[in-house]
Amino acid sequence: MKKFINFLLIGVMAAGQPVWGQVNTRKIYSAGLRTGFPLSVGLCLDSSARVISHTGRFPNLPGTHLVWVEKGQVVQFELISRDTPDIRQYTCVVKDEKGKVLYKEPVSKLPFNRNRLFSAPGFVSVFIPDTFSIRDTSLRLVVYNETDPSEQITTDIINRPLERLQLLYFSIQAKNTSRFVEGIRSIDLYKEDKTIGVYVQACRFYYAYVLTIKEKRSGKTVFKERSWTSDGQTGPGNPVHMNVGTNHIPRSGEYELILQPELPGLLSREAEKYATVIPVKINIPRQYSSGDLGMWALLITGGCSLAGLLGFYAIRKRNRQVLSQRNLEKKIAEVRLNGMRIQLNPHFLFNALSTIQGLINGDDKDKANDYLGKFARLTRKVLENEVEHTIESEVRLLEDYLQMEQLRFGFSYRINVSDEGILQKEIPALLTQPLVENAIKHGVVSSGNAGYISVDFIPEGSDLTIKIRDNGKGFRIDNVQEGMGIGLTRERIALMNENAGGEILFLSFQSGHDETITALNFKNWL
Amino acid sequence: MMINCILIDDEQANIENLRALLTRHCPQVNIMAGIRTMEEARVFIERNRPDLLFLDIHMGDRTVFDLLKNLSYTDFEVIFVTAYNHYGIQAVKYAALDYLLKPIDIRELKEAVEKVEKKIATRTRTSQLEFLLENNTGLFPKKIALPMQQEIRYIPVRDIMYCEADNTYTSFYLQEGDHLLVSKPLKEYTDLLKPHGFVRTHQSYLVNPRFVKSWLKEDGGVLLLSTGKKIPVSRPNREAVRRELNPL
Repeated sequence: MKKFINFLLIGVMAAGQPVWGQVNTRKIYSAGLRTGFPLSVGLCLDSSARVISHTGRFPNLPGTHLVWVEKGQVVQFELISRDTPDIRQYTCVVKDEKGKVLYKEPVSKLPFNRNRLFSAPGFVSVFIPDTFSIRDTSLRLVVYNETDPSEQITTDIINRPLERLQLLYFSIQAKNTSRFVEGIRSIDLYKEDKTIGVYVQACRFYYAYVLTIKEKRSGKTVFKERSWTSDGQTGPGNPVHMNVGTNHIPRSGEYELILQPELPGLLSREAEKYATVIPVKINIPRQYSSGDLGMWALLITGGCSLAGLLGFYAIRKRNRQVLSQRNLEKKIAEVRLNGMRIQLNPHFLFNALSTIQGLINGDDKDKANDYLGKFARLTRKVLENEVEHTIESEVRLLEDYLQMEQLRFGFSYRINVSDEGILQKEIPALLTQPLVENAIKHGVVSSGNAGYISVDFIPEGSDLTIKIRDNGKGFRIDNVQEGMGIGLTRERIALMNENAGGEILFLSFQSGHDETITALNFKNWL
Repeated sequence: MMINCILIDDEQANIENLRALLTRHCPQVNIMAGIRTMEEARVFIERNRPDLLFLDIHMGDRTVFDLLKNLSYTDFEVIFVTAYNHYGIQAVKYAALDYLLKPIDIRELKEAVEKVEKKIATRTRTSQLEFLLENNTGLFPKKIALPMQQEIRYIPVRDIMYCEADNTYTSFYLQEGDHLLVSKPLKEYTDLLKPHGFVRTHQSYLVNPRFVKSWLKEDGGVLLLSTGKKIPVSRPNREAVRRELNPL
């Protein structure tokens, strides 16, 4: 197949008189192929179009091909296949920039013919009958296997300037935890951190962009990759991210993150027009490692007895430092746990105040009083700063919270404790609130009265499970704001596990078409 | 003169609240409609051409900037409304456009409407809205709008050498030697420019590190700018300034 495509490229030829604004079907660009895929794609442009770049080499996206042109008017696609292929399950779709389907047809319905341009033995081809306008826009052709849609090839044709990618936030992954970095100007890295997740707002052609990290002081490039991954749906508005191993960052200092398209045929001066440059300060606090200790040991055994004696004292001192360092770390973890216990989302806070204002101005005094009462109870609870409280308190608090949000969004809800015997057991205060908030925001806000939320407290032997269920459209953990709420909850759970010296608390999500379940599991808790 | 306005917010309760406040406190305003979706708003605006838009920044998953970008008619004034929105409000501030925070303060509401009234009466329409839409896409807009007595200047952030507090005013000193007096306190611009790396050296000074040439030891600490201008560094700020300027 590859050989054939090369042949095609060489076969780019001009014959006949192309008419302006009409597709020149004598000039075919290879625009999509994939090992093992029975079909490949060619495309023809009008004579005014100039191809800036066309390439199919994107590491995370096999079968994706990008053709970037300027001054183009129309395009026509051609499908090429082996002579006797099994293409019954394949469908081809053309979509416009907004995702609207312009054309869709099972491939088997297309009248394949022996290839007209050259008599390549064993190949047939067909033009998709429609031509499509590409004036100042982009189009996407997808050919996919209906029984396994992941088996597909994608061709993007762009006839407009590219966008700049926008950096959204960083998320740092350590072994068991992840945390969000506040702001995008500086990052603190610790020994246990494994990767820095760089999250950007995906534009349609995000995969053509390369992330480069340069150390400012030396001007050296420490990282350069284009392996973006998406957590869910990609498309305009949804973030994609790339994980940068912390081993790429040699030391503290000023760095530059550069997001810039890199395509064959695209001059770097041209590419810079679409570049986003973000200066970031990275701090790596000094820490004692076991490697340091090993070095000491090596020195001592090799040294004379005097040095040995000195070394002995040095080690003892260092060990004490390490020990006190560990105590300190534990202390810090406790303090952080206390400090981050409860975060009332400021968004919620001010919207609640705004709702109260609305009730006052709408002369609905009873409702205003009722709402204000709930708001005061909730705020008081947050200010009280308890580490743990009874399940009964948590339930009452969730009631207040859900009723307040219900007034704004009009969903229905139910809280259920399956065994009243556990009401007086204690759990971390307000741990469920951000999870319920998330279920409301991304589950039921848009469904109005049809929205439904349930919270179940279920004891199983000595374990406890809290299940939060919503019937929304399913959730996107990659959204920035919700990511922060959940991120902090995750951090809180990680700290609790750390302090307990084992995994006692788990958070999990399960998202389907019409339901999302968030579950908190407490091991040996009751 | 009546100001024809529309209220755009995805929550009906907020529309009703603003309607009640405007009816009671801003008699010069005629409320044409309260609209809950951006698509309806677009159609309404293009058909009815209001003078003023009250815009909730957050509309479901999107921001109201998406609506503004898709309008063919933009000859109106805007007042943004938000409960709490770090990124959205930042863009609005860079464009020096008016905004209100929820719950709405009656005095702020009246002032904002009076300002719009004056603008319409004197026909001094500014291009801040266009500026916002061009400038707002990144987290760190490249330019900032500085409202002056007679005009609005759009200045590239990197051309600002330093800012000096002058009571409730702020003086901007630019690379080309220009000097602009803006009627907002330095604190406001400190918040906006710090993310760009600007350093607050002193109660009265905010400096762009790009123009700092050296640190003089005289008088306990003075920054020398490339133009020869000396900027004092106050004692409480000294450590922070040192950290900002020598990150290693």
